[in-house]
Amino acid sequence: MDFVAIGSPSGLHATHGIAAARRGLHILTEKPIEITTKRADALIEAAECYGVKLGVTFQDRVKPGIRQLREWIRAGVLGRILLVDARVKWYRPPQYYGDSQWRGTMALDGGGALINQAVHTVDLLVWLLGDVLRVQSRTATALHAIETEDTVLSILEFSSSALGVLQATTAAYPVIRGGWRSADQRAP
Amino acid sequence: MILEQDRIVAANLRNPPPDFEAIAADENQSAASAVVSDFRGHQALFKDFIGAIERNTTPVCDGREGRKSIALVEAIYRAARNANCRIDVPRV
Repeated sequence: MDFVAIGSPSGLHATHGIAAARRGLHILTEKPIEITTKRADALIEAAECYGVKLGVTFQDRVKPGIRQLREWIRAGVLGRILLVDARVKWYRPPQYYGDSQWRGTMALDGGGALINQAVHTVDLLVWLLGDVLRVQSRTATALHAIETEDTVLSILEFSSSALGVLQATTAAYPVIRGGWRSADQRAP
Repeated sequence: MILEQDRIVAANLRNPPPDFEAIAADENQSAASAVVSDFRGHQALFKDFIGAIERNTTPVCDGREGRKSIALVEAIYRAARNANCRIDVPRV
């Protein structure tokens, strides 16, 4: 065995990853890397200390359309990015949370729609457009019976001086892909 | 420029590059479902990671890269807890 792929609840990635690192196994963990930067740092340090690779499953980074967009942005094809609009209006049925011991819990999910679903988009925003310096936000538990948010709005100020808005939810039925076309996909 | 899931679905640029029209649209829509039905993204990511092990290079999203999104997520949650600059709209 050379590496382990970790698909445990988000708040256990460091625990399981550090155990793997101690045995000299490379670590490919599901997103997010962990539920806090503190726990992420412990995992990163362990990987470095034991000399193993650590990867996070943000698979959008290897998809052709997104790689193309990144190349265009880096080559200046889009000019200076002034404004970005990220919408993750998704749906999860009540049993997605109800049947789970960890989803939508602070202890193991670390949050709700933002940290579990929209984190793919958050990763892309930073990967495509660079660091964010300042944020304003508002969260809500609009639909689901969970202790974390199922809806979040945020205003982002990038170091490039670009401004952005992020909207994310797991309470929007049916799924509206990208948030601007009519829905053509039914929730389970 | 509109990106829908992982596809560029609309692009209207003043100075488009020569290869602009030849964008291969990817039909992966699995991210909008709790069940991952299209594994191509995961497969490519696994290949990238295995390649990083074999060639001793950095994976496309290593720990330090993967930390960035969670740092921003933390800041967004912190801002939501400290949203103390909300202005009540006066009642008419």
